[in-house]
Amino acid sequence: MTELAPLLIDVRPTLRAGGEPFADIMAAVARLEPGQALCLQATFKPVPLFTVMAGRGFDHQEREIGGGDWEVLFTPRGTPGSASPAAALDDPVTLDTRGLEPPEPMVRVLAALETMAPGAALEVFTEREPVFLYRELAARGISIESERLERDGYRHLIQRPGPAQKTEIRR
Amino acid sequence: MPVGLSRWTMAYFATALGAFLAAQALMAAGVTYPSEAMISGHTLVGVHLITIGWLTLLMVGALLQFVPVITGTGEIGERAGLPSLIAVGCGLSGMIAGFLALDGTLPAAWLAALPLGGGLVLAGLSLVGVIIARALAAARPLALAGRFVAVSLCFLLLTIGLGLCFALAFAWPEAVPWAGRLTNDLTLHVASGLIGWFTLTAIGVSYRLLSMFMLAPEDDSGLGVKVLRLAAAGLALLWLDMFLGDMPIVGPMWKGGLFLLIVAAVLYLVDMARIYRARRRPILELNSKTAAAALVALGVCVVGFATGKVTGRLPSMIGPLAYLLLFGWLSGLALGQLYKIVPFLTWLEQYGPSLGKTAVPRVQDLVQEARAAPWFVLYFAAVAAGTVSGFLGQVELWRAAIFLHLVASLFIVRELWRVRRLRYVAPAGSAGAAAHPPAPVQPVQSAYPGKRSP
Repeated sequence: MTELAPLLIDVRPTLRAGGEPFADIMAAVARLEPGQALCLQATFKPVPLFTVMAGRGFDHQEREIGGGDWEVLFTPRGTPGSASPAAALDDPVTLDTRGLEPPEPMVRVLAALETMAPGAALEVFTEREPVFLYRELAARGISIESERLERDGYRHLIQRPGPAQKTEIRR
Repeated sequence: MPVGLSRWTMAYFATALGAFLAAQALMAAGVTYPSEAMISGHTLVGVHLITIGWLTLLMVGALLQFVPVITGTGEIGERAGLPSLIAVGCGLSGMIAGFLALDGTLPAAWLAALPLGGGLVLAGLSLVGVIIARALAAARPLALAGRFVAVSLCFLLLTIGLGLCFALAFAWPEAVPWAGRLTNDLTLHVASGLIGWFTLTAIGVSYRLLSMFMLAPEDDSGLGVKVLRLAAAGLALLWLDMFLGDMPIVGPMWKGGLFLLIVAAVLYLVDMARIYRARRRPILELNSKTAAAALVALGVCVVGFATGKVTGRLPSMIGPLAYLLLFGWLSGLALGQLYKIVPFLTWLEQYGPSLGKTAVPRVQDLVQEARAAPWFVLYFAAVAAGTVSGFLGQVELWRAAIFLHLVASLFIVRELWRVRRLRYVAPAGSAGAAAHPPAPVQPVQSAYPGKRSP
């Protein structure tokens, strides 16, 4: 089988113009053929995206390409989202939003969730109780379980409704 | 529990801003203090436009949104918000008519409008106050901000209650002689309102908002609780003095109460300095800078008050100090926080449902700080100039300064309007302009029809 060439997306012009390339990147991800990798060029090391892409089943390799720019190769690692919901809960993707100014935690969590497969779980740490996030999740039929940590805020386990658990998605 | 947008908060904000502009216009035009005497019908019109029309409505509107956030309860005041707002608005209008009758501007028969209007204000604020208090009670143990609000709500009711006694004593002195017994001195009414209701609410909200937006620990020093206890104890002593002490009010309880209040204010300022130093955001946003200016104003008030008390010159200083407290500390803080809260709520209302699904503007894209900043600078500079003019007894200069902060306020209101219309996200008429910006003054349309939190 011939290996597909990675799809190249260069978001540096968007970033330099002060734009937000997240939607472009996700559109590119949606265009990928099965098994195709994504090659991303950005003006910084896009660490938050690693979490998002890991949630969609991509491994990443990053390298600096000079001038402070970075190139990241996201390669699919099999069939994302095919795990059972229970297995996903045991092995959630983690997103730590502590230290981010509101509403950035909510923005990142919702962005990450949209890229995750049905049934996949996201572990989120927040500084405060994310009351507005609860509302958005409830509106999207996504379940969340929250616990207050002894120190350093809250831990949440958020799971996208999967095919096998449609009855449990309401809070 | 999920928290949505408060249905009536923007309506409260809009009404409050209208009253704020009107009060400043009256002051600048020379209709009220500082051109008129401090205790005169016209001045009382201006004072109550600021205290009830502006600050109280602003704070109640903010609490309708803020209390569910700090308690994690669902939306509150969905049904009662509007009736309360209307009751307070009508009540305040009645009070204004009554004050004008005190001066003889309106016939004496209008005096009755004073207690009737005051009663309506009390009814409206009690309704919404009880709703807020119930949300707080259901969420015990409360975080620091919630505790401040719980105490300040008590003083809101005490202040209005005392005010209503004044109104009764003015309107029907023979019919309600007991009202006169409670109203030998205005000071308690003023202290309960300015410190107990406004300042304690502002302190509570500032602990949460400033630490949240500057990314600083909210209360790791534990000073916040001490501030609240000292302030509450100080105010309680003032009240005890009125009931137990001899008139005129110079008893040891009164002095002790004032001392505790000064200590509380100093501790609060120290704690705020800690939050600014401990912040993890190196660059201050406009609302954090304006809050710093407001805190400086509070500091000057405290120093001025203590100095005046020690030197015995307080009677001649109290006017400018009260002005600085109202316009520098409370209104300055409020305007700056509005400039943060309104974009945040507007963004949530407009873009919340699309988050993650499509590219949406950031909250910062709804404002242009560079445009608003000069007006905030003018506002605080004018208040500073006004305070100095007041201390120097230069009434005409003071009025000129008030005119300047009226202009600054107008332009800040224009910026808030632009935020509500999403003008900076995409200029009106451009391809990217929002087809349906939110209504500038609510009610918020639920983005999720049929979904209401339980």
